[in-house]
Amino acid sequence: MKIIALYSMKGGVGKTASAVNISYLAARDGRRSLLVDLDPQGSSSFYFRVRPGGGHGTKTLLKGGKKISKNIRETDFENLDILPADISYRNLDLILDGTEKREKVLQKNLSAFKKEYDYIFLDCPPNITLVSENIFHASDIILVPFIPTTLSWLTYDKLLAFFREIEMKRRKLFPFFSMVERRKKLHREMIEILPAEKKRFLKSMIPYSSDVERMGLERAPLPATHPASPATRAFEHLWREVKEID
Amino acid sequence: MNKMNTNGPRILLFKKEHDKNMAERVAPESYTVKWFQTESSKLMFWDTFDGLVKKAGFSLYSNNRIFTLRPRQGEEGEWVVSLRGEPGRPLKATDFPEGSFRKKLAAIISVRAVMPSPEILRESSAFSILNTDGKTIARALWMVIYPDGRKNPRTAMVLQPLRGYAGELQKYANRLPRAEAHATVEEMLKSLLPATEAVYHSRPRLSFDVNAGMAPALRHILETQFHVMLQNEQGVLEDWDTEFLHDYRVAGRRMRSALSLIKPILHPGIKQELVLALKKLGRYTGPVRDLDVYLLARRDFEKMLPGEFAGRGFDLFFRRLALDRKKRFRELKAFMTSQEYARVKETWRDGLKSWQKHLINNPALEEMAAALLKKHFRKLIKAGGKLSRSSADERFHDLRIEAKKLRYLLEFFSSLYREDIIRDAIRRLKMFQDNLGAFNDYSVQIDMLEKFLGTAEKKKDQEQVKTLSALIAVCHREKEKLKKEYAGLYKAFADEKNQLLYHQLFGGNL
Repeated sequence: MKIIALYSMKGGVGKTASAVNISYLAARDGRRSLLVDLDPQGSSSFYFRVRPGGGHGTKTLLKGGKKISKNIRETDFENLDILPADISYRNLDLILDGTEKREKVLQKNLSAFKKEYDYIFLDCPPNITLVSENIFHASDIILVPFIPTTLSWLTYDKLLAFFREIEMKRRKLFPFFSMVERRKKLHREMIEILPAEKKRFLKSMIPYSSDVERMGLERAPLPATHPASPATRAFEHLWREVKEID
Repeated sequence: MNKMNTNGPRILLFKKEHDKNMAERVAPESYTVKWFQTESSKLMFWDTFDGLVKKAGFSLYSNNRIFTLRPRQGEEGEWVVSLRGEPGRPLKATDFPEGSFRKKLAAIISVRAVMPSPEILRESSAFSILNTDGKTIARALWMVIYPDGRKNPRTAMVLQPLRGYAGELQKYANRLPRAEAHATVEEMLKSLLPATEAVYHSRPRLSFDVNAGMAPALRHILETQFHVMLQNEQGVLEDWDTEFLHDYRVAGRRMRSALSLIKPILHPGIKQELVLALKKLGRYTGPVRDLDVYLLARRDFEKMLPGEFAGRGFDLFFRRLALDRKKRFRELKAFMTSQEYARVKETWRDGLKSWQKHLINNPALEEMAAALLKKHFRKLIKAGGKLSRSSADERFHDLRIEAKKLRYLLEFFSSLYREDIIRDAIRRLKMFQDNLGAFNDYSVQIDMLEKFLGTAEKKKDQEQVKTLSALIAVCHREKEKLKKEYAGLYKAFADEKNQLLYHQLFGGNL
């Protein structure tokens, strides 16, 4: 089982769209996949038309195992399950703070699903907190959507610094360009210089696309509704690249 | 209410016939139903005459030409194979292509053939149930089933909730019309088949009125075995598998044994008539069965022979046996469709019908049964004790007959005694009998082989001579091995514990 997080300190960079689409593509490959919606806003859950179950919440995640299992929902797509978000996740940080080995709770709780899933995808909330630290510990791969702008570069450097600070392996981090607009000069320039600077950049680039925006209306993964869309092709390329990572 | 308490599929067979729109009509408001394709298939269930597949806890069915073998619900495993040709006739394990399916089936049915049930026609349409959010909460199947041709269709539904939605689906299920729940689709389909006769038993356990005496008990034994014979008749005639003839013959032998062992009850006149009728039958069934035993043992012989003898000569020999069997079977079939055979059956039917007329005695049932069992046990122990490795083959044959008499008696009267104790007694006897039975098989085979060898020698067929001589040598060797093992088996059978067991069961001094 591999745990793959979609993470960024910034909001609105395409985390949820990526999490929804690549978890769908993994499942379409025949891999048993679970998408964990850790964002209290619950956008991933919304895309799959899943509402959080009653009584589910922070405690579920902290207790792990059976508690989590009970709240898992099967999506409409074969091999793909989702653990829906819960509004109480906004307090997750506070609660984690009071637990033992507080930065490894998520890792421990997700390990219970080793046999059940080939992949677990984490759709993460945007910030650096104790929750994020838990995510970093638990994940084998951390995908960082990166809009080609100077501000993104700055945020990414902050993330690297934080990794150094907590002595976390930076090898886990894999940034990729997201919401790319080729007609913007700045985007083109960044794409040209950044990968030389940051060795771990993935080759895939997700274009800015109105099809992705429409996902909110259609409430389904993009490859399922728009199989020929350029954005679909880009996500497919991204997934091919990610599954090759050791 | 159709209760949904697990995450597994719910299989519901509706009491009344419904149209497909019902699936939509019952859905709560704002729920939707999405239909997919409709498929139709023809299904048949298969089992041996004596229900071996069912007894082993399996289900075997065919969908067009695809055969599926599956253990009862909750157990792992599924074996699937596709078969060419028309699957309407009885099939043996060897009729299926080599592989794990065939291996598994052979382990269950051995040499028996499986026979098809009537054909069930099934039309199934897949559909999904979506909730207010347009989220699929269950995948489902609507089924129209025709258990007998195009008449009397039944409707059924299979509901598989998506993980996490069993509770929501319950709302839908609650609104469905009355239905009976089944554990599996196969089980539901099977329940729609016309009721078949109770599972066949070659040795049905008999119950007697202990106060009515031995005469009605004997009649019951004969009647039951006669029925077993008739049950196997069609299978023998159609030659579905070798076990029909085997059971048919064993039933006949039991009838003869019962008549000769349990006496004096019947007038000798009628007794002679009945025994002669059975003897006539044996003349035709015996040769076919002997050849069957041989043909079934082909593999064992192949294994026992050194490679150089198991070549062309061996093949030729078995081909000859198969031809011979064909010829003998034709003779048997001709006999069984003749007036003569009809008269044999008539003799028995009349004899059983006019039973009272022929009675000369009616001893107390329990006393006589105990005395008979005691007598034959004692005889067996005594005769068995006299045998050693150097005893003549004939002595072993006689002992085998003696053991068989005791076995039949134990089986006839088993219901008079405690089931576990009698089962134990039969088990112990069977172990002893197996040695004697195998010994006899080799003797019969040696006789037969020697006859073939004679012909081969006359024809100067060197290859056949080589194979047959090797086979005879192997049979002799195996026979000697059995003789060597005999002393140990006798000791185990005649030990104090077993003597005590018979003493407890049948009383008196042994």
